[in-house]
Amino acid sequence: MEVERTVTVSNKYGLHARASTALVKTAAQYESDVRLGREGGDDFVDAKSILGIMSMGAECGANLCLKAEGADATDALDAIIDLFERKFDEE
Amino acid sequence: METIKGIPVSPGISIAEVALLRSDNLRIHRRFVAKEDVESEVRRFEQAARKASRDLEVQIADLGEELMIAAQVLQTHRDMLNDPGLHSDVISRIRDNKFTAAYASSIVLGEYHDRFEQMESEYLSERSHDIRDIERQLLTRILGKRRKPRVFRENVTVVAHNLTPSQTASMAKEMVVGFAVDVGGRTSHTAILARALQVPAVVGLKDASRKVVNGDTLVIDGYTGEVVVNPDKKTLARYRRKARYSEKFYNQLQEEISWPAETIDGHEITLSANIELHEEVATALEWGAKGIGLYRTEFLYDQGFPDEDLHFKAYRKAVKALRGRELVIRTLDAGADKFHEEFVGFEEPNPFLGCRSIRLCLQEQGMFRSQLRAALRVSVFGPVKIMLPMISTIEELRSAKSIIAEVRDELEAEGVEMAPRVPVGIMVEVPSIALIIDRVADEVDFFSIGTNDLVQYSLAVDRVNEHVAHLYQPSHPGILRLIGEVIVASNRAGIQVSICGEMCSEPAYVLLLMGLGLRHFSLSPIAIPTVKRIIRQVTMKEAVEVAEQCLGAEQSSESEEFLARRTSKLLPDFF
Repeated sequence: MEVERTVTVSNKYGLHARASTALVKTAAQYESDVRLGREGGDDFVDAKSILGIMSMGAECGANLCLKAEGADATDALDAIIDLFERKFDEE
Repeated sequence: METIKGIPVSPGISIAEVALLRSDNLRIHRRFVAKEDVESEVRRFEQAARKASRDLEVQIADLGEELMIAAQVLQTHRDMLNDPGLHSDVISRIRDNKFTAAYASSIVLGEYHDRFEQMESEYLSERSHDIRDIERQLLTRILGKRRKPRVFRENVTVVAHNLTPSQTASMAKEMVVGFAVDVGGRTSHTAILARALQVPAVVGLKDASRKVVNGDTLVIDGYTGEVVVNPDKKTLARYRRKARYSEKFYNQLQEEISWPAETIDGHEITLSANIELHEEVATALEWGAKGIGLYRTEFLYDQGFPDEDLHFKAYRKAVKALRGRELVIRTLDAGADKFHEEFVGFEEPNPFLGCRSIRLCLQEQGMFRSQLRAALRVSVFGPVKIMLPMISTIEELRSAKSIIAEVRDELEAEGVEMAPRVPVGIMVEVPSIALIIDRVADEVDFFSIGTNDLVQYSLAVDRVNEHVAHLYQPSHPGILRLIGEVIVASNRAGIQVSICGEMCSEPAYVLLLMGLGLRHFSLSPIAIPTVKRIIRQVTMKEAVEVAEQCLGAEQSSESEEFLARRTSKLLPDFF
């Protein structure tokens, strides 16, 4: 199964170290392959790779595209989008 | 004794012996493995990554709850070391290129390092140090060169070229009372951790680590960014005093930072900051600055001539960090003496009366234009003003303005976006221009009185010359009259006037300058809370009385005594 969703980075500091760690932790709980990139761009990184995520330099306000492929793809994206919406529990 | 200036990142004063920390320089050479050894090399990498990750676990557990920030740094490192993308990249380099585990790791992490370093966000580009750090940890495990971290038995100030995050974190529980580091900015781990530990720290010291040896005494002033190596008795006594009162006094002031700089009877004074490095913007805002009233750009000329791009990048960082607040960029204000070797090609017997500042810029227009282009280009990111130093005649002002207009046309022709209007003002620091200020007012958007030079030029005193230093008197009635007239004439013409000299960082002069009509102060960031505290305790009527009293004094010593008495009542802790 392949699922695609978009999300806006809305926590103040963007995908810095702590937020990226949380994202990796969440993605790693699912079997599916999860990738993310800037909306409209071609470069996608593995959501289970903290170095990949941080090197995107996604700031607050950036629009991202999430793609998941695998048995639990929908659940994986739900959980990740929830994390973004909770602003990584920063505020 | 030597004083080195860097970026203050954690407030406080420390006086202690130096413990110099050298970073291990791991040189990795390009080496290959035989085809049959490839898989064992892969295992070697995986084992080393596991061990390095376990080393971090141990450190994290040691740190405990109260040092959460340090622990978080190490947790991020552990996650980076376990990154599946990193593992697969390194492993494919070993398998495809037959690189050794060490070489493959250093290539892959080197690429990440460069990618982070080039990022625009200061925060993310600082993370390149984390990458270097995990590279070092991984390589020490691959090469089997693990060393025990150093343990300090008495209070020390740690000096290093670049403290890695894990080094900083491992020192969290040590007897470190201060940090002085050559590289790094406000968001470096040293900075973050030092603030968490409430230990003074200065970073961005360039080559301080090469100027000290173990056992030197080092003063760290985490308010101003000054680091003094082997201070003399007098300096030491001064810093001991500052250390004593600073803790209590500045802690109190911290609470007042968000309060407005307003007199009892409702006159608001704008307090902006003077900075030398774009990294100081954050500090300035933290101390309550409303904007940057003076951005000295001379630092950019330290390594020879900066090109437009270097100017542009520094200014853009400053403008962005200000988030909509004003930035006044002062064009080069240095003498030919700073450059004569490689550029100007002449020496001057008296550089202070020679070819300096705007005079040099008008002669070396290529250099001037690069700076102006950068200043105009950043105006698209936020409010920017251009300030011309050392103007002594109206012709100079007109020449400089016509160059600015040409540069603007040039940029427009290139299709570069700029703010529709970038105000241009001048420093009032040569007496001749101060005396005809009413005529200059029609041709500028603002004035900023540079009291350091104005006092020096008016009194014909070099203030660093010990034989005449006593004649350097900012409260000389002649100086006060001159400053007062500039302020009155500017206010009458409706032109904003500020003072950006040290005089307005000095608590004793605050009431006096307000009384002379000054409403805009630009001062060193650290002085802002103190000056604000004075403003909030007085009425404008009192300020005017103080100014009248000083203007009427026969000599500066009368005024000084009077002002000290007056100010000590307002700031009992300060004197």
